[in-house]
Amino acid sequence: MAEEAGLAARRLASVGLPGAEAVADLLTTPRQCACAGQMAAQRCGLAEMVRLMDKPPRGSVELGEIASPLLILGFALVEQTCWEIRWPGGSAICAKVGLTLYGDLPGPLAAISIAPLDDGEPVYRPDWRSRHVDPTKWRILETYAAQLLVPETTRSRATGAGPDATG
Amino acid sequence: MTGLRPPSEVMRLARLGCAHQTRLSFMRVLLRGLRKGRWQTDRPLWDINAKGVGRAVYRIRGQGQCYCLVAFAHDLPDAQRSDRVIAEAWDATFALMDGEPSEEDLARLSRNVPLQEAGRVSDRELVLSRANRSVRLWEHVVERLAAGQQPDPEQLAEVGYLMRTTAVYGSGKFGAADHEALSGRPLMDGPFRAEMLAVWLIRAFACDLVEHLARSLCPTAVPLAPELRRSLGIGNSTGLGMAPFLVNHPLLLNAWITARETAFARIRALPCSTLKTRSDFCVAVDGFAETLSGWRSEHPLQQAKLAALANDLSQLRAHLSQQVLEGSYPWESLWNWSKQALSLEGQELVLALMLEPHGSLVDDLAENMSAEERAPARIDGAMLVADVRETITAQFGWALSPDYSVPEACARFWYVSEAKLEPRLGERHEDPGADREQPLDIGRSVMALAKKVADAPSDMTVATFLQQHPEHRRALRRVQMARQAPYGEIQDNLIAASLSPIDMLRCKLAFFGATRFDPRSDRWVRITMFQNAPLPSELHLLPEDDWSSSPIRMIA
Repeated sequence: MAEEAGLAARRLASVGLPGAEAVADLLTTPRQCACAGQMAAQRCGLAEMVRLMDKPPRGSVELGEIASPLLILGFALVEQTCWEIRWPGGSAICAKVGLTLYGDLPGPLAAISIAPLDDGEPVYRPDWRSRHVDPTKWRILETYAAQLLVPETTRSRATGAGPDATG
Repeated sequence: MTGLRPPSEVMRLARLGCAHQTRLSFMRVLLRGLRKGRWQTDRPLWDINAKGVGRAVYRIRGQGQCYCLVAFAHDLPDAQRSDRVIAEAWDATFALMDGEPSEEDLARLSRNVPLQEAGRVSDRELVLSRANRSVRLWEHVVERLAAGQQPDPEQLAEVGYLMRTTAVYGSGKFGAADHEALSGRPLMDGPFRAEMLAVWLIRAFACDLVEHLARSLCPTAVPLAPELRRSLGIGNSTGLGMAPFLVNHPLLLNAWITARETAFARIRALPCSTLKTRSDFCVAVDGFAETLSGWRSEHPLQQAKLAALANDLSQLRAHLSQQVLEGSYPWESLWNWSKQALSLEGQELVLALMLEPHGSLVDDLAENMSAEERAPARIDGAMLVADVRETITAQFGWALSPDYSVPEACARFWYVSEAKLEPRLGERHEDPGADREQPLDIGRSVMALAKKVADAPSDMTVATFLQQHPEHRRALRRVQMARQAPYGEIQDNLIAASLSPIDMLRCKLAFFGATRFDPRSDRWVRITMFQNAPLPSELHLLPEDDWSSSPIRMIA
């Protein structure tokens, strides 16, 4: 799931959306998810995104209250055909080719509905340019990732892994 | 047509660890492309003082593109010279820029590039790198040139480089542009093209700098003789940081291996050889003999491999003396003989040598060595569990054979070091940190998936299975990916006590085009890059792609 989170962050960022921030929000929002041991009424945006990607629905779906709902756009951004994704105060039309955003971005929690569109023309095309990431959210991600780092020991320093050539 | 070698043969780590550079290696593809595209290099800025401190810009233009290597030369005290990734100062630091730098860009880069990891570049930069001098050789060359003499060729051959890079970062690292920035660009839209270009220009900078310092010592200093310049490559020390790449980029690995194996199959399918291909093959054999004579290593594993290679080479020459290439399907026959007569090193060498006379038949395959990795194989949720079982049985037999509960089968674990933020390999039963293991244990993960799908209903969809077992998502993606990328997996247990990590490094570095593999332990290796290759100033004057195994002898 971490792999999916990273890929989704990249997809969102490629169309100018705060993808890394969305993943950081997920980590700090209570949600119905076994991953981090947090349980709440809200469904996990990442788990929902992955479920939709694995088995795209055939019609409109009311997903209900979603934690870090921006991640749902990560599903539509791999689809060949357009999807309309709605939340209170805004919506997006998106597909693999890009995105058009209306209104405000969703907050950390929002009720989401999705519907396939017969036509639609996303105007914001994905690009590779670097993006600014909110430093607060970046620190959340770094702190989370640091849980996987292994401190050095005398033995690991001795066995090492890298070169120290000076010749 | 002669078929491709099966993944079960090609993707074993012991064989991957015997890979040699070929016509499809990235350094060679780059230089062939630069030559064909009539790329031109110049040096619009050289602002370096008598102590060797300052900045320089190398500009290369062709096929509607322009890139600049911005180099910063430093006065580094000997005590601070370290090749460790945690070093904080270097003899020279570099950025490869997309386009030409303005004064503002140079000022910005001068504040960041010398800091390397502690600095930040922009998405106009493609590569960030640094290099240290080979102190012993550097001083010798400066002294000799300043005295109006050429350096001792034996000392040059012994070391092989004036500078060695200790990191070459690309694709998004430390703020640099994503690899996708090069998408669609002629020549540069290929694996590691920007990185190889940077190293080639760094090599030119090292030669220019050593001559500059000699002239600073004595105005009557002589320049390096062209053949001695060419004999100097760029050294590189590579550790475990590179190893996980092959596991984490299965589609790319599949593309590299497929291209090489397709080239090999095309050649083996030829019904006969020509006088020219036979002659060129023998030239390639002789060229490798020269490489081997200068290929030294103090590591016992590599020494054994080199001894086997020397023996293989003798056998190969004796075999060739029997006119074996004049019969029907000569290359297939030679390969069949090699499999019986030679070591794995020798067999993979024969493969590499066979590609040499067949450029017109195989060079086009270099364009197929990229992979679309932005949207990695999407999981097919409609696939049935029965099909997952079938795929695992058909393509992951290697993963199902070890008993992972035996200590030797899971003796190692891959992790990221807190101190260095670099991949490391730990001993599971002795070191702390196995609970933070990186998921490079593909074989064991697929085994766990196999056990879980064995208990699931055959008609259950993958989407439903993953809803219940999200922890198997990565392994399931690999299984599905294997159907479209049969060469995407290293078919060995990467956590076994018997794992030799340098085999992973050797495989990747051979695709880069590196030579003179010199392992310093089972975890890091020294290599040389671009040794004998033309310098930018002579790229269009020398024969095409005639440098990889021995010095160019014909000078136009």
